[in-house]
Amino acid sequence: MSKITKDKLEEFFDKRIKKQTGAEGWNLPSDDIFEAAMVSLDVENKDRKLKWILYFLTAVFVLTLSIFLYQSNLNKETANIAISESQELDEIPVEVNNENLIKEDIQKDVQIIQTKEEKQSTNSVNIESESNLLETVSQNAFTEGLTQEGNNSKLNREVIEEEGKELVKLVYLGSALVNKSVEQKILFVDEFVSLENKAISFLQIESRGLPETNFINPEMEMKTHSAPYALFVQGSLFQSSIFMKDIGVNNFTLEGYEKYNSGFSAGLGLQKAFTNKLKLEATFNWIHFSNSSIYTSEFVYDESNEFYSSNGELMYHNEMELSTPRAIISMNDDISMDNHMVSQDRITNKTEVIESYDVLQLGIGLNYELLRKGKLSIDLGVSPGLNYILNVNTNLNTILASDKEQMASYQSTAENTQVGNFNKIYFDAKASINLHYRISDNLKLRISGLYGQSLNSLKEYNSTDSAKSYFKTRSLSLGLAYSL
Amino acid sequence: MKDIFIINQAKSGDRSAQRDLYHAYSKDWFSICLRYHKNRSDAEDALQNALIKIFGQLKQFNPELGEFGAWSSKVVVNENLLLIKKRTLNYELKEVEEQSDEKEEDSNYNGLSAEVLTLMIQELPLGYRTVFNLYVLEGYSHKEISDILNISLGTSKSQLSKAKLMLRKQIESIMLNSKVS
Repeated sequence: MSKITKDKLEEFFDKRIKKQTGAEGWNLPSDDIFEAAMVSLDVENKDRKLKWILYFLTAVFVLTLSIFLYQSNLNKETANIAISESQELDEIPVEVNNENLIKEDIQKDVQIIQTKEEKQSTNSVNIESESNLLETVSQNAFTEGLTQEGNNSKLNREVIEEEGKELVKLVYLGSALVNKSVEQKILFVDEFVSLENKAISFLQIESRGLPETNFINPEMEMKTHSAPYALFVQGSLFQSSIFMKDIGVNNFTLEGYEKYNSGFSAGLGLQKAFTNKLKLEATFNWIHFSNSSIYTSEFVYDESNEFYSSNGELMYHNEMELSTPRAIISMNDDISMDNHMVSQDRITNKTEVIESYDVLQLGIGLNYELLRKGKLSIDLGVSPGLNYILNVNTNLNTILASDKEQMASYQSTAENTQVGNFNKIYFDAKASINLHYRISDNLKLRISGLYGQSLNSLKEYNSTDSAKSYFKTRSLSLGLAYSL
Repeated sequence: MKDIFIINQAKSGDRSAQRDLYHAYSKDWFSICLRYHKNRSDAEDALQNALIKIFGQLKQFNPELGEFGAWSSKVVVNENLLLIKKRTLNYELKEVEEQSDEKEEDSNYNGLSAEVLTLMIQELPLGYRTVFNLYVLEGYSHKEISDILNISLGTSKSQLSKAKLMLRKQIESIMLNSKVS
C-alpha cells in the first residue's frame, strides 16, 4: 500500500470513522453471525476431511486394482511356464512312470490337495463309466495349457450344454503328455471357497483313447492359484429427480422437483467371485445429472427499487431468497424491465431453478446370480455407495409478471458461495438387475438396469428451512467385463 | 501479549478463544462491512464470509509479520470486495468526467459521529462507495484501486471525486438542517 496525501475531507472521514463514535451498538454485530460462521467452518472442515477419505479410498481402489492385475499377469506367466515345461515331456517315453510324471508336472503349476468331496468324485466316475477315467484339474492351469500352441498339439474347442452343466468339448490332437491323438471332454463341476478362502474350480475331463496309466488319480483335486476376478467398464444413461420431505418453508411454493431429468455416467469396476453365484463388486463412477424445480412467490412492486442505468435505461433492483432443493440461494439482481409497473402492483415471481451436479461415486455391491443359460446369465445386485459432489451449477430463469403484463424475464446463475450449507457428501443405496452375455472366454457384455436413492439429505437441516432433499436415480448401463 | 495467547488458542480450534477474538475485533470488522454495503443485512453476510476466512485461515497468520488487527481487517476488506463482485452481475464503474474538488472544507463537521458518516457512505452508489472506502479509509492508491477493481486510473479518481462531492452535499444538508432546527 503506497502513501497517499489526503485532503481535509478525506482526513476528517478517516479519523472520525476510525474513532467509531455513534449510538451504542451501532457497529456491534450479533453473536449469531459468529455462530453461523462457525457452523459453516465446521462443514468446510468436515468436507475437507471427507475429501481426504475419498482420495484415500480412491488410492486404495487403484492400488488394489493394480495388485490384482499384476497378480493375474504373474499367474498367467507361471501357467505358461508350466505348460512349456510339460511340453518338453513329449520327448520322454510314456510307458515309464507316467502317473508320477504327470503328477509332478502339474504340481509345478498347481497345488494338489486331497479331495473333501470324495462322494462327488466317485459319482462322477460312475456316471462316466464309459470313459477310461476321470481327472480333476485346475481350470486355470488346464485351460491355459489348452490354449497354448504346442509343438504337436492341435485343439478344437466347443462349448456345449448337458444336463444343466456347462461343458467344454475338446478335441485335442497330440498331447503334451503323450504322443497320441486323444479326445477329451471337460465338465465344469462347481466352485467353492476353501478354508483358505480361495476360490477353487474343478474340471472333470473325460478322455478317450488313452491308456489308463496316463492319468492322475481321480480323487485328486487341484487348487487354483488365482481367484476369479473381472474388470469392467461401463457407460450409463442416467435419470435423476429430487424428492423432498418436511417442506414447511415460509412464503414460497416449490413444485416440479419430482420430475426426472437426464444425465450420464462413466465408470469402471472390479468384480470378485466368491462362488459361481455370489460376486462382490467395487465400482468407481463419475456422474453428471441435474434436477429442476419451479419456485413461485408474490411481491408488491416497490418504486423505490427503480433506478436508471448509465445508458438511461429504467432498471429494477430485485432481491429474493429461494429455498431450492439444494440450499437457500440469495439473489440480488438489477434487471431491465419490459414494462413499467406502478406501486402496489402485485407481481408474481416464477423462477425455474436448474441445478446440475457432477458427482464422484464409490460403490461396493453384492451380486447374486439368478439364472445361467448358455452364454447368458442374469444377476441381481445391491450396493451402498459414497457420493462426493464435485461441482454444482445453479441456473435460474425468472419471469416477473403482474396479472396484466410481463414486467421482466431474465436468466442468472448462483455461485456456490451464495448458497447456504449443503452436504457435499451423501450416501445412497442401489438395486440393480444385470444381464451378462459371454462374447468370448474372457469378455462379457454387461447390461444393467439400476434404481437408487440417497440415504441422507442433500440439504443441511436448519431451523429456518426444514426441507430435506433426497435424490432418486435410475439408469441403464452398457459395459464390457473382462475376466482376469 | 494476551492477544497472541488467544490467537494461538484460536489457531488450535478452541471455540472459546475464537469467540473472544470475535468479541475483541467484531466492531472493527463490522464497521468495515457497514461501509461497503448499502444495508446492514448485506454487511452481516459479508462479515460472516469474512469470519469463515479469518478463522479458516488463522493458521496462516504470522504475528511476527504484522498485527492481527491489520491482517484481519485486510481479510475483511477483501471479502467485502469479493461479495460485491459476486452480487453485482454488471459490476461497472462508469467513467465520469473528473471534476475539480478544491473547495475549502467546512470546519464545523465536528458534530458528526462515525455512525452518521458510515450511513452517508452507505448512501453512495456502489462504485463511489467502494473507491472512497479503498482510498480514504484503507489507504490504497488510485493505481492499486484500479488494479483491484479492474478499472482505469481516471475512473478511480473520478469516482472518488464524485463520492466526495456527494458526501460534502450530504454534510452541508445536515449542517443546514441542524442550524434551522
